[in-house]
Amino acid sequence: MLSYALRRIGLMVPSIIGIIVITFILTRVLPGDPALMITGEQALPEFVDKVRQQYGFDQPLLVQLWEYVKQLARGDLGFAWHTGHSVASDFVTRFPATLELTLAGMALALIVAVPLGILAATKQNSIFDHIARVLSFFGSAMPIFWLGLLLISLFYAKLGWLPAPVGRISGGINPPTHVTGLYVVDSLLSWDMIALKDSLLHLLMPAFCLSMGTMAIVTKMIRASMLEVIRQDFMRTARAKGLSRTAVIYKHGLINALIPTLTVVGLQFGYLLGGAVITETIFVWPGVGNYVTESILSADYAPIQAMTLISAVLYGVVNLLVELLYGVLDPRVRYE
Amino acid sequence: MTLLSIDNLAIEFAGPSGPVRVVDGISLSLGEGETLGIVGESGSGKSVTSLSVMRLLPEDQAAIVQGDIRLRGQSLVRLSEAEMRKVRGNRIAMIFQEPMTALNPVFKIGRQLTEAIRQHSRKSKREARKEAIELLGHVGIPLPEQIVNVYPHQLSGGMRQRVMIAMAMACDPELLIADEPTTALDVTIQAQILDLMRKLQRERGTAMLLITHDLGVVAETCDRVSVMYAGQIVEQGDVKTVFREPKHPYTAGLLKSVPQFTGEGKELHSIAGQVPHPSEFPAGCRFASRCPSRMDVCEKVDPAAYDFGDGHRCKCHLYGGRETNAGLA
Repeated sequence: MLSYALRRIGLMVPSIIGIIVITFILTRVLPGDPALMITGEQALPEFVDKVRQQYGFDQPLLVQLWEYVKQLARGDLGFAWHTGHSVASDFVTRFPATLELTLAGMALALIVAVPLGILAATKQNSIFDHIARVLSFFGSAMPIFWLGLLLISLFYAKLGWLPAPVGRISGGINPPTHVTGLYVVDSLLSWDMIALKDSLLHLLMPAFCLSMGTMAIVTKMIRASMLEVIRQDFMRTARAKGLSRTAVIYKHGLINALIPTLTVVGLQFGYLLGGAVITETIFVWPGVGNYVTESILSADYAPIQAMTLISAVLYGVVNLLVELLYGVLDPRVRYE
Repeated sequence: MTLLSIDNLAIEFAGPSGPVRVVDGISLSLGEGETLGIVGESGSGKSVTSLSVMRLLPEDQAAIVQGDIRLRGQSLVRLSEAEMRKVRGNRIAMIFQEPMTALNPVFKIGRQLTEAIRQHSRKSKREARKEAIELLGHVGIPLPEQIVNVYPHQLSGGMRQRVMIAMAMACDPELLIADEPTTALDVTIQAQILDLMRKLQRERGTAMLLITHDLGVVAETCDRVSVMYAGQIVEQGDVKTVFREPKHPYTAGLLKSVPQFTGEGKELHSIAGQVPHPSEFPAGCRFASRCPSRMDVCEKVDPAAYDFGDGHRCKCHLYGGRETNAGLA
């Protein structure tokens, strides 16, 4: 399995090279003159030219690409002038926010989707089945920005149940002592109940928004694969042993139904780790998605390229982990 | 003493245009330690009958609408689901056709066996595991201590069927239902599995209901046989009698279509046509359209069953007609 994992990591290299080249080209075709963005609209043309030379924006694209590759090879992700920090340090400060949001969203999605999918499959055409159908329809059809605004206007503006949808914690409350960077975990570790409550309340709406898509897909997947599994011969064998219908479904059926679902969950997780741009923007969540938006708006090449690269690598790694997990869940899958 | 008796059983499936009766008024009985074969083509209702004894018909699609199934006089049809669970795997066990798919692919053999053992006893995990190893050894699996730790896909079809048999025998059932237990296996393995089942049956005195389409298997294993056609039993009796003097044209046709090694390159006999779909069962004899001895009455009137003594019964107008003629003369 180890050699398989290493081989798979090796296979990621060509895709990473492709990603480096493509993001490089795509950022260059973005509208906006980066030198002008750095200096500001009112700057003297001589000064703008100087900045252009200094950053190498006047060089031919191939030369710029070569410089970029050399820089990456040194382990340097570049400098984000719009924040005034290196991209790496920006990433380190922002990634925990995205990770916390993603984990919360995924957890919420799975907590709802797995039982709902099972109930929808085992009690076909029951109320659960209808709920599952409506949920997967709305979950995949509803635009996140609209859902987000709806939630804000209801729970914050109208009912006032939730704090202002800005960031991870209210302004007046100190963030918990930094350990993992996940506020919920850190406030638990430092037993800071005020921070815990506040960060949980802040997490609720964005996590819900983020969970909708995954919830919809996973419910559908679990329902479909459970329906498939229920018809299998081994389920009948288990019933013939004298097991109850429920025991058969949860002991013998669930694990078999989870195997195909795992792929979808993995893909979603990897995808969301790259930063949920819309959700993070609506809730002013200081994560990677927000960072990418800012960078694009400021035509800041280095962070755009670096974040795309990081998302791609994360996606690849999560996919690999899912594949290896497959081998753990399904004994028929063995990696030589 | 009668162990299992099925009395005028009818089973209906939900169809697109109303219920469809796939098993229609079958009756049979099985004594302790006896082996009864149910033979028929696919679609004759034999598997549905066997599943109904276990009360494992697909709940939302099929239901017993008439008749009774009794185990030592106790009606299984009227048992609650919780009571029925105590019967399944404990007093009645079942082996299925496809050993490749009948075992859960993600659990080790040992776990699936101990589950069967512990379901109906208060044995500890360790005791159950020890017993599982013994059972595996008993069904002729080499190195049972190692086999408990492998997954089903690592075993051959024959080995998996042995595991299924071990699982069925785990609680020493009074009745073993085997639904085409050898159909999916190679011929050489078939013989081994049948031998094993017979051996276990003899040792433990288990009664067996053997569902098959293979007359050879019936001849080798069964004491009595019921021939099913289109949801009804058309002939039943002692295996030797039925095979030597088949009364029903269908039974006769089935026996004739068994390949024989006569040395001559004769063409195989076959019964023309197909089993009608349950929604298109005719009013008269259901075999009429394919029957070589068809008479006018066959298409209109459902024949009664005639007794030839020793429990040999046949549902055919050929014999009813004779009696009527005798009566007229």
